[in-house]
Amino acid sequence: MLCPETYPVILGHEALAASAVLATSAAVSLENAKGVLIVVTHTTGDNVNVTLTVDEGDTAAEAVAGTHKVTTGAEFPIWVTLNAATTDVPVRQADALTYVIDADVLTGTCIVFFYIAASKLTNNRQWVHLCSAGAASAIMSVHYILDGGRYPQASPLTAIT
Amino acid sequence: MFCPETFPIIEGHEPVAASAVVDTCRAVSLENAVGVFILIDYHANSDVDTLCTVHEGATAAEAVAGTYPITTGAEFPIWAVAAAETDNTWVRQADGLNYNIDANVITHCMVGFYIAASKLTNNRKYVHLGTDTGGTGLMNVVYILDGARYQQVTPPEAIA
Repeated sequence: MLCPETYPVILGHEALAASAVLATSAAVSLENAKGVLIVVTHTTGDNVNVTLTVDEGDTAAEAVAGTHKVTTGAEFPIWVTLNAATTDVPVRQADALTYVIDADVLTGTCIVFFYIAASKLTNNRQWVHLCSAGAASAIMSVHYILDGGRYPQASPLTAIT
Repeated sequence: MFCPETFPIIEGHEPVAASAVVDTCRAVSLENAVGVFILIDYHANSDVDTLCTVHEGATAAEAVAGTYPITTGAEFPIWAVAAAETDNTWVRQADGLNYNIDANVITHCMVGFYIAASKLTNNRKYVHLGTDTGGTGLMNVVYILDGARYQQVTPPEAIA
């Protein structure tokens, strides 16, 4: 069953104006997961583009600080549902390091998906953070869905006692 | 890999004030899925509670009309995170038919409903998140299909 017990869902940022979200989304650790699907929901508000990137770090604070962008060689899969109010078909984009929500093109609502595999992160930087740029009045929200979460204990859970 | 190709993610409602969401979420069909996880996030901004329920229907329009709330005997699993800006621990609630987002208690919350297709009334394959009242708090609704299968009449070929 797809539920928060099997695929942890974490609030990256509550729905707010993009100008308030910017680089303030929460960070998540991939130490105990195979990867994370980042889901960005966006409702156009004005003619300002919003650029989405991903930062990594060895602490949550370092990831949020934006010191280390996920960079060349670690391009990740991206999907976009352009008119999410009328279609539910996400279109796979070329693997890349960023996505620009173009306010001239996306005049309604859209959903952008990034899949960040833990194996693509730099050693010891297990935290990732969705960063947005573009102080638009558009309303956006950010969710993280962990993929392949495993036991967070040092020792595996017993399954026979 | 958990991605939109394996777990279709559908916008229920773009983020707007809860007062603008009221019963206007889109409906989704569970004809080709085992169930759906409905994810609601809510940013409290006024002292108005929001009651979340689920409707079913034979068509999308019927589900959105709210004629048939999912009712006694089909209680579904509910989870909630009351302060999602600082906490990521989902708390399982008693199975129920609705969840009230209490504006006096929550700040930024997430609520999850899991609706199994097997619990729907025969021939009512569409489900729709219903909300009432709604304050000025911003609300966002996403459906994630679980166990989606091929949509063709014939299964896709895998050996040729």
